[in-house]
Parts: sequence; structure tokens; C-alpha cells
Amino acid sequence: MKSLLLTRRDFLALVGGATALGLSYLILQPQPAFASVLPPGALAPFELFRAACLRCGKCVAACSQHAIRQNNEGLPYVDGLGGWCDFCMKCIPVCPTFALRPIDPEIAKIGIAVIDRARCIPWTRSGCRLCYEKCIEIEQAIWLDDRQRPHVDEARCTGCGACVFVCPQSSVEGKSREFGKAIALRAS
Amino acid sequence: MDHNRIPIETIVHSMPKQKIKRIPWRNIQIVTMLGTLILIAVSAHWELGLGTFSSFGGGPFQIQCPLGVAQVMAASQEFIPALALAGLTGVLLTIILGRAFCGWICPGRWIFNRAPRTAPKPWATRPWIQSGIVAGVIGLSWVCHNPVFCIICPVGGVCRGAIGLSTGGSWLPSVGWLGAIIGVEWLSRRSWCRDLCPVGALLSRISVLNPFLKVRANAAKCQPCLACMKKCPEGINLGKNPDLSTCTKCLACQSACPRSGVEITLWNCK
Repeated sequence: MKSLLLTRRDFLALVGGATALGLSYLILQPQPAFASVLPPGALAPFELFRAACLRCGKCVAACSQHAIRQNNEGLPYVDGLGGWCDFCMKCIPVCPTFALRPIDPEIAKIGIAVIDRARCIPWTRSGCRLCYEKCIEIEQAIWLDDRQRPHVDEARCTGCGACVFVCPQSSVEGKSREFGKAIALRAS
Repeated sequence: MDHNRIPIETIVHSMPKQKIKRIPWRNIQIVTMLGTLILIAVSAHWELGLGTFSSFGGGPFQIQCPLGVAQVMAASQEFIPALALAGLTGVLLTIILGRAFCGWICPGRWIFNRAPRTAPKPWATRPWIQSGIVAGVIGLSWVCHNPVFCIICPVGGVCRGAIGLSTGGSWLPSVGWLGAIIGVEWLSRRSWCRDLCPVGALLSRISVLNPFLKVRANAAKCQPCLACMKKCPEGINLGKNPDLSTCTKCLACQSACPRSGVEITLWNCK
């Protein structure tokens, strides 16, 4: 055993150090703004929802669109990157702690889409109108101006995230930025 | 005449050894644990609605983690009757099966659980310390308006990782929290499952009422060899009229006993 360069003490210290580094990254890493968009029917002030949520992941498992994900502390959020919320309300009855409460899907509103004009293709160059065409089918909340650039109608937008899902801008480029894609969800 | 001079040990040692058929409890438990984890991932992927260990089952029939229920109700400072009922189901299940969850289902047992021979002996005032841990976690939830232990809970974390893997989310946070708890266990030089885990502490306090499926030393076979205590992750000495409230029903004592003197009793309301 003497030929080992690494003693058990060193090994454990290495593991502990690596864990501490990883944890500090988890806590200190830049949190995108869209992480605070909660599933439909969430209790109204965010503090109340955070207190009532058990972090059990049942809403994540119930979502047939894979629109809900869990952040580092286990809270669910909708970002539109894995799928978009079609307000099927399957996540509400499965919530064991009633942190999600029944609402009318017709008036449900979980957030607002915000366009990053510096990265949006029609705002910088021209051509793309995928979010507009997707939203036409759903809420007609995105409209085009005379130069074919998209705008979000905040009164109509429900924050479903379908525009984010179809946005072709890479989510890799904007990882350290506020936006992953050229359009993102924000809490309303 | 010569027979009288042969010491008794020689006779015992020269006797043919009895072959003891042992049940591989450890392997069965690993399979059970992995099976339930796979069930959770599959249920999340195909939307079967089985839930997780934090909250198992759906619709009117739900089993809740009692500690999670207490924390959420303390954090939101609101009594939720349906949630309390589901939590009571968990308590009832613990009264029936004891701490079997810790030994058979919880993945933490295979991740942390420093071997009892390297950890120091359990605290003498363990029941009080365990009650203190539970009260502390619930009180902290009340103060912080946040179910604090649910965030770092390794059981919930592993479930979140399984759900993340099966639905396209991330499993890295779970690994981070598990690493943090391994760090806590190492720094404190205690066994997480035996001394520190709040869920285990609450389940052991409830298991005081558990009368079913208890291990017992057969008085005719038992010699004070302490083999069961050395193998028991909770440090229970079966030969000495033990307190079985912390028993996780892992049956390591039965596998360890050289005289096969450990019995499982179905009903024992001592």
C-alpha cells in the first residue's frame, strides 16, 4: 500500500474539495431570468409557492409536453426549451401540497415572452418568422411590424413558451447571458 | 477413559460443520431499491403518475413523506387536511413496517452509511438527538418559510435525478447535493443514516410503535459474540434486550450470525 501516491486522506480531501467547488458553482452560477416562470396555477407570491412546494417532481413527471423542469433546489419552472405549456392542467391535480391550484385554462397566464432584439434574426438581419407563425396557431400574441420584425402583445401573451421552443437561435451562444434563445420567458 | 481428557473445544471443532442456508438479503434489497428507482423513472417517462418517494401514488390514494408534510405545513403556516391525511398514511405504513423504507427502498443506504466499524458508537442519548434533529428541521422550515430539508434531501434528490434523466432535465444538481451530504458525513465522522438523517430520525421515532416483523435472538443459540452488532448499520446488539426502534429491517444480523440464531417474528408487541 506504500506505493500509492495518494493516501486515503488525500483522496477524501480531493473528493470533498471537488464537491465544495461543484456546490459553489451550483449556488453562484448565473441564473437565467426565465427560471422564475412557474407552472400554471402556482400560488401567487413566489415566496408562498416556495414554502408550499415539496420539490417532489410530480408536476414534472405529469407534464406530457416536458415543459416543466426542476431547478437546482427542486422548484419547478417553465422555460420553453424542452417543450411548451399547452395549459392541459395535468400538473395541477397531481400536486400533493396544493402549491398548484386549479385555475381556468382560458385566462391562465404564467409569464410573458421577451424578445432579445440583439440576437433575433429579423431584428438584426431578415427572414425568420417562426415564432410569429407558431403563435398564430395559439394566442396571436406576436405581431409583425411593417419591416417584418416580431413584437409581443403583452396583453395577449400567456407565457406558454411555444415561441421559445421554435426559436432557431442557438441556446449555447447565450448561456452566460440573460437569454438562451432570441426570445425567452419572464415572470409576468 | 481417554475421552474424559479431551477438552470439549476439540470435540466441538472436530464435528462436521453444519451448512447454514442463508437468504441473500443484501442482494434482494439492492434489487428492490433499483427496481423502485426504475419504476419512478419509467412512471415519469410514460406519465403513469406514480410519483416519487416524496409523494407516492396518485388520486385519492397517496403516501407522503411525513417529514415533508410537516415541513411544508410549517413553511406555508397553513393546515392542509388532504396533505395531513396523506402524511398519516406514511406514518401508518411506518407503524406497520418500521424503518423498512431505510433498509429496502432508500438509495441513500448504499451511497452514504459509513460502515459502523469505522464510525464511532451511536450517541447514548440518540432518541433525544433524533427528536431534536426533526424538531430543528421543522422549526427551520417555519422560520425560513421554506421546506429546508426537502431542498437537500438525498432521497428526493435521487428521485429528481431519475425524473430528470427520463424527461430530459438535468441530473447534475442531484449529484451535487449527494456530494454535499457525503462531505457532511465525512467531516462529522458519523454515519449519515444512523446519526444524522432527519427522515431516518423521524421514522425511528415513529417505529417505537411498530410491533410487526421484528428480529429477535434465539436465546437457546445466542452467545455473546457481538457478530450482529458489528454488522448492524444501526449498532444494535441483539443479545442484550435491544431497543429495536432504529432497526431498518435490513436483516444483516441474520446473515452475520454464525449460529443462525436470529429469528424474524411476525408479531412482537414487547
